Amino acid sequence: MEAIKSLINFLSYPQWSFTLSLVLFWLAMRSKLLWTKAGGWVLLALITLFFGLAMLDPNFFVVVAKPDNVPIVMMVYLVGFFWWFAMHKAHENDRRIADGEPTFEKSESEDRIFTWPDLVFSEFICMVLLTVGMVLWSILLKAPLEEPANTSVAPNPSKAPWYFLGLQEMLVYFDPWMAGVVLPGLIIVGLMAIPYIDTNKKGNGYYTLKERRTEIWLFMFGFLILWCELIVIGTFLRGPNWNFFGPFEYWDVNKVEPLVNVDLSELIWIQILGVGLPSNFLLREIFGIVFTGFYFLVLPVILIKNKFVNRFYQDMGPTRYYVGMTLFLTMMLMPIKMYLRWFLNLKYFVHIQEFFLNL
Amino acid sequence: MAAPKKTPDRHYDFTSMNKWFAWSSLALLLITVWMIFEDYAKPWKRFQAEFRELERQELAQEAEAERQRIDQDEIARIQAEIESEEARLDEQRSDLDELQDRLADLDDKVYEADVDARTTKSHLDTERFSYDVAQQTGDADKIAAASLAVDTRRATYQENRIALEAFTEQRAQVKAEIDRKMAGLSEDQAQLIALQGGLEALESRVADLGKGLDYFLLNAPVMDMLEPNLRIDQVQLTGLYQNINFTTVDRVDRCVTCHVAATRAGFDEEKWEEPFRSHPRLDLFVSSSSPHPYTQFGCTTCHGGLDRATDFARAGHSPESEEQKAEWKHEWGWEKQKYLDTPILPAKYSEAGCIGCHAGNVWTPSSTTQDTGRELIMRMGCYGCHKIDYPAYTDLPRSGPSLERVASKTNPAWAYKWIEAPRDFHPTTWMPHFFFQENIEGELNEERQRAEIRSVVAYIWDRSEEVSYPAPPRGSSDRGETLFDTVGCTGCHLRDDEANRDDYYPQFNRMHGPNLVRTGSKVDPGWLFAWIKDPKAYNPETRMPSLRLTDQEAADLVAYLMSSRDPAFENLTLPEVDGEVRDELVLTYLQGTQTIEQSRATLGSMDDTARDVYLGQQTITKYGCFGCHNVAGFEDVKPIGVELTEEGSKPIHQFDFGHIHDVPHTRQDWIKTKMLQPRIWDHGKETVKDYAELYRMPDFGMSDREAEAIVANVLGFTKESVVTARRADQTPGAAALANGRKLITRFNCQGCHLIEDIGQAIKTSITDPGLWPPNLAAEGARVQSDWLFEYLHDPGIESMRPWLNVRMPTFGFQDGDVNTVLSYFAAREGRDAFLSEPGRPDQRDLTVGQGVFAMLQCAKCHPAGPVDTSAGVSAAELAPSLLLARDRLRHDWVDDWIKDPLSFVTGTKMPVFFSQLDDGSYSSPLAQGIDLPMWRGEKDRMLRHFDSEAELKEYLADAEKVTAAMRDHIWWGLKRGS
Repeated sequence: MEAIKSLINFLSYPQWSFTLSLVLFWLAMRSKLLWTKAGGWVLLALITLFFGLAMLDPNFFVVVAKPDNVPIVMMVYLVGFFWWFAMHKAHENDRRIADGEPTFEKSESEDRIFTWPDLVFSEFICMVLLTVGMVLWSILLKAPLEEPANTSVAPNPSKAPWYFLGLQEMLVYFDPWMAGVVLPGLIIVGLMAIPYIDTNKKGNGYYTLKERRTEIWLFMFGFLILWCELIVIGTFLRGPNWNFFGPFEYWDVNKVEPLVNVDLSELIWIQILGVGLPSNFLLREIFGIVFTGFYFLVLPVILIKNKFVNRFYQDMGPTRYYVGMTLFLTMMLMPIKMYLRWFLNLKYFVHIQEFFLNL
Repeated sequence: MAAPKKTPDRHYDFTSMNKWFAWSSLALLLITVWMIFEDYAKPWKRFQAEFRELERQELAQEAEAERQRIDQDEIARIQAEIESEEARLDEQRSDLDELQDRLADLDDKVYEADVDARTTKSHLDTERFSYDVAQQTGDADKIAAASLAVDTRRATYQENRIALEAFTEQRAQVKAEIDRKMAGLSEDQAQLIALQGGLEALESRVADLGKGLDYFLLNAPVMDMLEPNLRIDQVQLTGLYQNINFTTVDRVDRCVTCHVAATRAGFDEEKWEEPFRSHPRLDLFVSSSSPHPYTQFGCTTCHGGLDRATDFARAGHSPESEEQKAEWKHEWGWEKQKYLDTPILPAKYSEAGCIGCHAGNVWTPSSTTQDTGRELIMRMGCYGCHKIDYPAYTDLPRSGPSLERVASKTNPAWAYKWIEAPRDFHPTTWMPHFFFQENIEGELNEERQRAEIRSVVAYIWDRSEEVSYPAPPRGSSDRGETLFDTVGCTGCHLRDDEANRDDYYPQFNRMHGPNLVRTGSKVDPGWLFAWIKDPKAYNPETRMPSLRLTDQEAADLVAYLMSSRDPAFENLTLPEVDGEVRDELVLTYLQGTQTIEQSRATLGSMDDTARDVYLGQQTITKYGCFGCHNVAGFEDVKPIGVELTEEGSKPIHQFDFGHIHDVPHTRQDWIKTKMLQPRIWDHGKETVKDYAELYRMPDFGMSDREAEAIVANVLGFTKESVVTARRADQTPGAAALANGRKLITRFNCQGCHLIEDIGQAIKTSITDPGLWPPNLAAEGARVQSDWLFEYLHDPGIESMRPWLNVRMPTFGFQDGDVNTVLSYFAAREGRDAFLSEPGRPDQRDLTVGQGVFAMLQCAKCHPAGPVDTSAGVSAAELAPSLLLARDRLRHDWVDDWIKDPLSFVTGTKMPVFFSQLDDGSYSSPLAQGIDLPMWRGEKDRMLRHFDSEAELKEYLADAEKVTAAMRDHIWWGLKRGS
């Protein structure tokens, strides 16, 4: 048991768990079996079995059973359910479309449903059950009140509200100006831009995977991996001093992690080229600037040559393509930076402290 | 799930929907009931209900006892009287009835007239306002009309008042008439009430406490908004803030919601269990007549805890032991409140709560543990390394002896052995063990420590002045021993190899100076002779006073003190130290400011002595020796320890418990453990930490209760603030008291004197109570400040008790110190420090005074000349010479003292001649005594000043006059040399 726990602890460290989740995401999105009813039940059973067994571990229990963290556990189930639900319907619809049958939504919309009593009555029952659930929750789990706030004693770990934990996790890898302002701003702008960039008219009003495979992959990657997973990490796996702890590790305040991060400029000028840092900051950061320029300005153009991308370029036209590609590349900067941090201790691509410009 | 049976118009199966609805509604109902129950069934209600029942049973028993006590025959007699009285009244029933009718009628009339009068009055006020309004319009007609309205209304009001007063008067007459007729009956009824009233009150109280239908209705959920019996009992404490970091808020204490009997007397430990006990010492705490009434001070002000909590665990109760913790967990669902910064102080540390208001008092009245702890902190010199910003611990001299001239006193080898383990030499010493502790074991570490100790000695000797003293004259050890035991040394010093500090708990006056055992192996006799003759010559800052010893006395004492030797501490040599280890330590220190290369070069440039001295300097810096000793070169160095001023508020997570798991995570347990095992938190880290990083706090060899006494102080060093107006140490005179007390501790006055009922430690070596140094109770009321000022500067000038062997030492006080003492005594008695010179009385008073002085045989104990104790007069019977009275005593004191000595000094030998009467005045026995044949002569002499014997006797019967006359005689009649 201890061996399994330490294996899980080891695997849950971000470089491995993130890689693992990428693989699992890829497998899941390609799987058919998972999205059948049986697959759903197995998934539910597996998650519940994991939580149930893991709760026997005191360290896991302390973190998961904290009243603040209960909503995150619910979130795991809810996100899982809705993902399964959407994929289940999408696969079913894809089958129906292939067989020339009408989609779920099509056939349902032809059914006549009365507002009264069908809709109102069922809504009312849901309301009663929800009330029962909420009252039960409030009786069984007391409000997690703490001591009066104190300017001289910050709680350790200091955590953002759960829905912002993804952002807080980004702070580990990016300058606060990037992680706190630019990237969240782009997330919102990007979400708003989707309807204007997306030229694929299919999948409108019904679930489908086949007809919008790339779009769904892209969105699910951003939402599940870069948002939900970071929230789960931030909630359950980040302990005192924002150090990383495996699910069965004790949150030791005194844990020390070796942490000497280097900039891209230092990496290249000193470690690879073996010469000192140039004093001119433009020259010093030249590699970072070139890389960034290449990444955002040249890469989209090169990618047009790719057959798969070219199809989108043709459909979307240059404006939509470049806006969409910039947003996509910005999103991908996150995993890229994460991997570079884990394996090269990279601090910043471009680090011009003269202008507080850090990327 | 079965496939839904759809009808054409229905999407869902409604039989099943209805079932869903029914079940979910039922669930909602149940959960609502549960919610109300959760909200309603608070634990404090259980306590209150239980206490109510227990109290009811108790009162029922009392009522039963009362019933047994009441004399039934007496009741029967009174009842018979009432009946006969009623029978008598029946005869004039018609008259009485008529009177009653008239009374009822007049009641109505008075009521009516009163309503009329008040109505007219309110109209009158309105008219007057209208008149003001009319005035502002300036319209003459309107003004006139308004004025008329006011006058009319005033006239009506006048009539109404006359009517009201007339009816009231008539009613009073009728009522008096009725009372007169029924007087006999009322008297009997009053008697009956006097007899039975107590019982009836008890019975009605028992009935009130019963649980009838009304009780259940009033306390039912929702209904309890009206007037429930079970309710939260709270008190808001304006000005006693609690700190919630961003702001301070008034405390709102709810403790008595569960501790229902805390403020009431009679619920004592033997019979009642918590939470139903009375607070201990209600004379001092909680009760409305105590100095700390509950309504003004609440509970959490002193005890800590969450003021608003009404739940056992959330209130922050702190268990005293692991057993209690287990019991509480089981019984009350106790759990640690990790978010509560100020949990309730465990009972044994509750005195820590006094500090909030009494910090400046230096001695907290009626606190015992805490005062002991304060004394320990001062004697152990904790303040030398840890800043403690409280009046008791600031501006104090260093607690250990000066090392600036130590080379004249002893030798380096002895010093080495002393530093290594001070308690091996002096079992009771305050000097702690710095070396060979649990966190620095192993061969290499031992070698390092030897190098450190040697270097410290090297540094001190390098900087020390060296004076050589001639050998002392020959003395007798036997005479020295007698002198040692009687002249006053034993007020501050022990000479006892078996002594154990803990045996002296809670007072350590005799450990003020070092234990003088083995002195012969420590010091140079020439130095010792010079030192006891004049301590200030060696160290101007020393607290050791001069006893004005003659050369012979000093020589005898030296002979006696030098006779205590221990071969284990003689002919010592300094141990050899491994030079490499020493150099490695030197390098480590050098590398703090130099590169590795530079440090090697620096080391190379130093010779052996320079290396030792350098390491010594660094080691003294490391261990903070200068916190307690004057060390040359360390005059202005800051103390090395953590500041303790707010230690009691330090968040628990800032305490390092290291790898120690069996110490509960509370402030008090951490601090206590640290006191007892200062290096314990290094356990398991000894090899990982650098040598210089290891904990350095030394081991004072504390006993459990010494550590707890200190904890009872440190827990009180909090950042909680109390407004100045509520602080006991901000009252007038408090500063004078505090400074005086500090000085008293500093110079160990209580080693010899009884002050505030503490002290006279010297008693252990002087057996005859007549030879003890005086009790200084009421000193501020007794002596003149001018005299005391001179006396404290030079106690050798004159002696009021020439028969004593013990000498008041010469401390070499500064004027400021002496004034501190004067202000202290004055503040203690609440008197002005100075009095004006009284006028001369007339001859009659002086004659009476002289006569009474003789009659009361004052001179028998108060000698007027040299005393020959060999002539069969025991020292226990002697009192101070009254020849000094005029110079020494306060004029207003003498008669007060003669009149009632016990009110000033309990247990004084001064006889009581005048007994106090119930009304507070004093009776004098002298009017009778004067007729005794033996006082014939006195009587004749006095009579010359009186017109008659009766007049004389009247004078003598007046205690005030007689004592004043005695005072005048002592003041004016006694002369030096007469």
